[in-house]
Amino acid sequence: MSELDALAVVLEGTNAAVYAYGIVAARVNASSESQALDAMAVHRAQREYLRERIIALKGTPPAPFAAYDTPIAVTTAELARRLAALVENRLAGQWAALAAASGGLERRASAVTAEECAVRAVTWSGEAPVWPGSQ
Amino acid sequence: MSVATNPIKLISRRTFVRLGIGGGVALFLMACKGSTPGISTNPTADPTADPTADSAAPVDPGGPQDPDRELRAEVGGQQLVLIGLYSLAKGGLSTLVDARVALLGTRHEAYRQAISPDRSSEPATSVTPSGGSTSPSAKPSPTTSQSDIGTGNSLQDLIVAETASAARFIEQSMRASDPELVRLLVLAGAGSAAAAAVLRTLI
Repeated sequence: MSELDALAVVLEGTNAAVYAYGIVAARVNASSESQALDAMAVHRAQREYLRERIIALKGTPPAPFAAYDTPIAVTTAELARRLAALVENRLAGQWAALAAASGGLERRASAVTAEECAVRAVTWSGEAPVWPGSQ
Repeated sequence: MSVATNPIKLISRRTFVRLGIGGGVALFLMACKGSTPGISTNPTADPTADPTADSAAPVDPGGPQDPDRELRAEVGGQQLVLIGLYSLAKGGLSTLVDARVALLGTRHEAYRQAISPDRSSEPATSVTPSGGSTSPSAKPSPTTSQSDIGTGNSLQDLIVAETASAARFIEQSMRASDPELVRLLVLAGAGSAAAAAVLRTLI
């Protein structure tokens, strides 16, 4: 996978994550809502970073869609937390793939971000998969 | 991309595939409903295999032609040390915590198998994160009382070790030549960081 392709995958995943956190924030309790909005802000910032990297590589950043289907119907706070954990673990795997396609400081930044995603997943689920990104 | 007729449906399919969630809702729910994280110590059956990865991989990972050979061996040795640390913590914890901690410890065998599969399971003699030397079967030193390795200290030691492991995996990913090895190292680092986060909740 080229660096540009990997960047596009992570950007699309991040776009979906921003959307998903809107759903999560609407379902969880007040303290978790703040956590969800903080995570959404992180992913928004990463989205800009990814767009800039794609443009720097002469690529075209994929635009976010207006809406996304979620893999589960988020009808309760617990399901919202599961969705957040799933999104973060998936992103950890995508950032790891980007690290593999990158070099130098970009690789390090991607690796650090993968770890941050995995840790955020734990804050939602309380569990740590052996291989984040494999669910 | 046209989304005129049924935007949600078209978006869904595309997003589903791109996010790698095509494994199915059932699998997702199984993973979420299960009380235990998905532990796999079999690298050949490991779901982390990247279907989008380039097929060009080292002919013999860990073999004489592998430029990452020393790195793989280094990682393998460090995983043995971590397995040893988890083994030391066993028994000093409450039954419930012990089971969760033991489950976290098994991941290091999975990492060792995936990254350094040719490494034999001889006791590790490499330096521990805290600078000491240990082996997987090591017992607490005579100067360490049972109370010293009670729940708090054991968990704290593991948190420190997992946190150090996560940082070390990143550094090692910077030294790796094989992209697939980079990916595995980053994922293992993410796994260690996540394990440290879980351990913090157990104190």
